[in-house]
Amino acid sequence: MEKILDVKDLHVSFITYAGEVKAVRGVNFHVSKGESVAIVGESGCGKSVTSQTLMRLIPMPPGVIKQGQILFQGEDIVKKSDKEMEKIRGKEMGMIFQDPMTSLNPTMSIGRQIMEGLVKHQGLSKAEAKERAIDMLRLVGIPNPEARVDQYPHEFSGGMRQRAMIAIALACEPKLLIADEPTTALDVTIQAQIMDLMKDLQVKTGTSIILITHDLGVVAETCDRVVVMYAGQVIETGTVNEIFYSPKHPYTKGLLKSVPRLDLKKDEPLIPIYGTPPDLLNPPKGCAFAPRCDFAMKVCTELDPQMEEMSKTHKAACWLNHPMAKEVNQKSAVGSE
Amino acid sequence: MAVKLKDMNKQTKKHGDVLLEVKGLKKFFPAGESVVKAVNDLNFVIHRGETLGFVGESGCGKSTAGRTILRLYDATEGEVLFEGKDIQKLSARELKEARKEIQMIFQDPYASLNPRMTVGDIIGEPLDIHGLARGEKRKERIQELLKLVGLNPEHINRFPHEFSGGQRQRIGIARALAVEPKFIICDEPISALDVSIQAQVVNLLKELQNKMGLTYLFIAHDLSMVKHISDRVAVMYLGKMVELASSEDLYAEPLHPYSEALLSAIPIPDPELEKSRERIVLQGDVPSPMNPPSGCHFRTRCPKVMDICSKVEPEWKEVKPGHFTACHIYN
Repeated sequence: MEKILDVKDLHVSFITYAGEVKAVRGVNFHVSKGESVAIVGESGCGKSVTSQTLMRLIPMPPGVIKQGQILFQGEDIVKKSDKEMEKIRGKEMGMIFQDPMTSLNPTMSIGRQIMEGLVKHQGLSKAEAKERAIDMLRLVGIPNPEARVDQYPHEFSGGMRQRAMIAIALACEPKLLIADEPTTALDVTIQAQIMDLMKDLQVKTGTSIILITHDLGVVAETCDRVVVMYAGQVIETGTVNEIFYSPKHPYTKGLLKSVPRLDLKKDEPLIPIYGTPPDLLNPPKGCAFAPRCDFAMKVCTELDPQMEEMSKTHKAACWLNHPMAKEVNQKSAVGSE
Repeated sequence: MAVKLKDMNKQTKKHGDVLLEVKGLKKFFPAGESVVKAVNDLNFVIHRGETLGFVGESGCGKSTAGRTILRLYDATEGEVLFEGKDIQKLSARELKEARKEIQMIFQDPYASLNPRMTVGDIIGEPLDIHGLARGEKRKERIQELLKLVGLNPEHINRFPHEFSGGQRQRIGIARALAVEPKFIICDEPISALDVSIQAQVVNLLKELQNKMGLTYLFIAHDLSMVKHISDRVAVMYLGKMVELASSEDLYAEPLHPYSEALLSAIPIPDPELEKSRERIVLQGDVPSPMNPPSGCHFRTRCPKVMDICSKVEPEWKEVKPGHFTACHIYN
């Protein structure tokens, strides 16, 4: 399938008074046309920085793109000028932010916030844009859109604000939609509505989606492929089935074991991942997960593990998967029965 | 709304006697001309050594209920009997004594610890207030508590900002345990933590319960976690309890349409299962608690709504042994 986005060896750092925080350290992944890709990981693993870099939204300074390429429809985003980026943001790429309470402009009506992009990018007249804004609100399931279009964010509930955000992001029919924890601030019944809506719209508009989340349930429900990040690096990537049924990195296995599941008996104890993620001011030598890993070997604290290919789609960066690693180690790894 | 408390007692025999009994608890907040009925007529018991889970969406009144039980809010109406004494009627002095028995763990580990106090002083504060330990003994006790929650006792002089979220929540737990309470209200103790850290804290809470015979009221919106930790679970909607059952029963066979929808809304981390699962997606938002719908509060979003639902408030009753719900379907 045609790649719409290809991220190659991306490094992003923040220069702070305490030193250089290496938030993203060599990230590689791609998104094909019409595909949904999840980026999962804990807070501070670099998933949001990665996604914001895709749209060049990180503040520079203190942020710096140290190295790497972001090929979007074959063109390198890293090299674009701010002016060129303005033509891409909102038009070619849309973004849905985590917190619908703070990411809408409280002083602008919802309609005007949707119209903004339409007028700027598609050159519609105000009247046309308003028509389109009403259509968009209807599309995302807001009742009585003719009246709602003139209302302000404070008159909308949390779920409706997130719908309005989606309407803004999709108004110009972007080729890529980046959703950064779109349902984290919402209740589960509203989350179900929003996820349903996003799936529906994807079928209708054929856009590709990058979904950033820490909720593995949401990933299983909506995505085709998964990118697992830890300490600024991609440590495993594969199709949802590969990641959920045969994870190859101890961190992925740990994540899957540490969440309780509704459909399982409650007597099964949760297996937590002990310790905390490393400080990215001073990332550890070798595998960043080694200090928390039950199966760390000597090599793990010395050398960075390379991405090993399990299948065409499934890759993991762990020394346990190295052809020379002992079978025994693999068998006793967390989660493998 | 008569509640058969006797029947409730029957149900969880494996646990001890009734530790806490809540009768007709109401908490209304004035809001301009009208009132917000945040908690409206709760009736339940908690047994010694049991964990009761409270679930519901934001604004359903679960946190207010927890705070009213501890009398951080004065109840508008109703009784909270803790070992037979009504907490709502205690004098200030008696209340202080009672708080030695009931403690709380708060949601936000960043906001609930004083940033200008050392960990030792944070954990030591309840010891000072209740005059439980002084001098060298106080220090020993604090270190013992730190060890108990899995922190390094040598960190007694550090400040909260030097700890991670999960570690801070452990400090909050140590502070709650300092007075050796019988009953702890955990108000969303893990919502602010990362998934891999959540399991650490939940395991710690379970371990402490076994070790010290604690009783928990566990408030959360994460239903999978509540199922994991609770013996019984109560589902709340707009200030009212809509269902109460053992956690196995509730998850195996939810009776109230709201519980059913809530459970089906939770995605399960299993892609094949997710593909085959049928989901009940509720329409609309939770109505404002200032002006809840007449009759059954859930009727505006209920997929099984009937004529009677808008006219008559459903009765809270035991539909199956130990399984309570308030829904007209079961009349």
